[in-house]
Amino acid sequence: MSDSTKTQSVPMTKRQQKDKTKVKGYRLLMSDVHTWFGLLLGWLLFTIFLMGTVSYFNNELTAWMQPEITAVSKPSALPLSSQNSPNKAQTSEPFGVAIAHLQATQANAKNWFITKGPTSTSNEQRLHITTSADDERLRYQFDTQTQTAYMPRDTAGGNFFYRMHFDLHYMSVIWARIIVGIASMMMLIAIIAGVIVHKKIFTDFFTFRWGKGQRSWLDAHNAFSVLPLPFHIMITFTGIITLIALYMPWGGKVANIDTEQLFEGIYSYRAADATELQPAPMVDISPLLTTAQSEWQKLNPNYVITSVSINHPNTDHSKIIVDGKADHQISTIGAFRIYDGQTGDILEQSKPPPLAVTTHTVMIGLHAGRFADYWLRWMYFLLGGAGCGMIATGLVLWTVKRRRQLLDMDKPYLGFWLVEKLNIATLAGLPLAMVGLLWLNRLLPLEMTARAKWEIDGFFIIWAGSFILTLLLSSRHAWRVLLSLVTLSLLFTPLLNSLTTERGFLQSVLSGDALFISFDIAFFILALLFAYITYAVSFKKMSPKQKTKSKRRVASQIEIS
Amino acid sequence: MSNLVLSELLFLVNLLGMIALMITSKRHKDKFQHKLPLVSKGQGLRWLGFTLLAIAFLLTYSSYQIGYFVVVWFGSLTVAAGLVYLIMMVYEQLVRVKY
Repeated sequence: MSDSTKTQSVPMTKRQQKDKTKVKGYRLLMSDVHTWFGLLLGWLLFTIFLMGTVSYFNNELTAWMQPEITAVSKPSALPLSSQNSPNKAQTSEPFGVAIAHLQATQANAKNWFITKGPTSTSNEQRLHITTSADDERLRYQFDTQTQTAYMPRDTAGGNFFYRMHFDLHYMSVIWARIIVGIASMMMLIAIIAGVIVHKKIFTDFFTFRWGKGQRSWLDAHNAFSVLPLPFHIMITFTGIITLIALYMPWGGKVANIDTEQLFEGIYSYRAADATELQPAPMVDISPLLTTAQSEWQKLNPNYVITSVSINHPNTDHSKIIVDGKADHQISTIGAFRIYDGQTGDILEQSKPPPLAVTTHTVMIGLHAGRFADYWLRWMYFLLGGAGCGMIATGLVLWTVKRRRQLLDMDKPYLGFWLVEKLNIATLAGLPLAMVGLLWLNRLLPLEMTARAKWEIDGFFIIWAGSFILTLLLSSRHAWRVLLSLVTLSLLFTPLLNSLTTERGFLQSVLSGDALFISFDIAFFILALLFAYITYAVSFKKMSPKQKTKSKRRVASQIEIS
Repeated sequence: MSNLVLSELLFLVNLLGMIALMITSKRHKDKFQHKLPLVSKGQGLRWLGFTLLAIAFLLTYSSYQIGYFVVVWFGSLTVAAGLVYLIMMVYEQLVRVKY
């Protein structure tokens, strides 16, 4: 009997052992996946995440970078008041005023494009106008109540950060999007692998342990990753879905969709490309807008007209394109109507989208967060910031973990050296370049040719400069110098703003200019944050315990060799 | 209920829920056991925490823009957790400095 139990028990334990190693092996494997998928494109991912995070305030950044366009004086300081406007039928009125203004000033333009500014930075009465005559394009804002046109300075605006988020720069857009897509897919894999690797998601949910070196870094990395996990998964997944037709074009191929023909069909109405034009009077547009809006509102009471575009105004080819969107609707898809400019007949109008299209546009909407009012927008911003924190702590953790195993702290191997330098140049250099862009916006002469381009070039020059600085200095010094520079430049941005514009902090407070007050406060808070990081990097010495540990390790390594 | 009020309410209820969950969490409950008798009495407070989060989620249905407020719920859930986390970070640092 004892024999039989023996023979039975031996394979049992073997199998158990096998299972045990298998489980352990899987987690270890995932740990490697997490490390390398996160690290290899980590710096690009940090750039994408940071650009995306500030892009939640894209329009606000643009407004800050165009300080000569004064804020609309609002009766109430609450930015949300525009949502509750009871008289929605009146909202098409300002469009009528703007069209009359264009009729008086730009009657022969090729195209008029009038769009409602984002509700956050302007309100119903302030419209954005783009007209193009011949090859010249004119962009400005128009106040429909005071009949004033505001010409902004030539600036890259918040739009630069937004485009950089997925188009990068100095390269073909398609290639950039493919690279960004690959990075996002790696990020999604790293996130999922990270969830598998993390052993104590719930036990360590609220845990941070101070002053424990690698343990503290890991706790910070976990906090930045686990608490906003729903956001990270959502934002990465929807980010890929946004450009899914580029990454997975086979669906369209199988369905035999000729994309060129498709685009032709969609845009032929919208493009102003007719050549033989005869002058012809136009129909009165205001009643068309009112009926379009009221009919859309029958389907959804939140619908408002967001933009009116008129191609070849005052000719026999004139077309009126009206776009509308529902307030607070997550999906980015809206309704449109295209009218014949002479007769006012409907040529084409939107149909209810298929379910797959709705799903796609809801995901795009969730990603871009344009539907969000300020409360939710700030949450998007904070969670995006947490994402940047996650990538930053992850990248630093890679070096923290391996630094202890270094034989000689001052002469690390090439891979370690490269990761550390790239960390410094990205995590500290990129914020510096971004603040630098804001400074260039204020400092470059207003009459400069290609001013906006120089702002962007300046951004990259500063970034490259910080990389060179990183190579020249020791890592510890480079962290300290670059982070101090970020802190100081952030701290002095409000001062620079008050010196170069008439919208300094005091004036903003006196005139109740919520946008500029918020920016000054935000710069100050960010400066405090970077001051703390600088302090932590500069003055935190290695604890004596750690020092002796690493010394002992070095000694033992030397003995072995 | 106006949109802003509902957003703030969701945040507040989520925050209370997260505080309850933090107090009853394995790593923090020792700190509160002496001061809050409720903590030592089993799982009551933990259930209260989860219930509060669920109540906040149900509150999104009080608006006709449910989709919008579900997004707000997710956002405020995380931001509330982050706030509780930050408070505990500062608390532990203060305790560390004291000793």
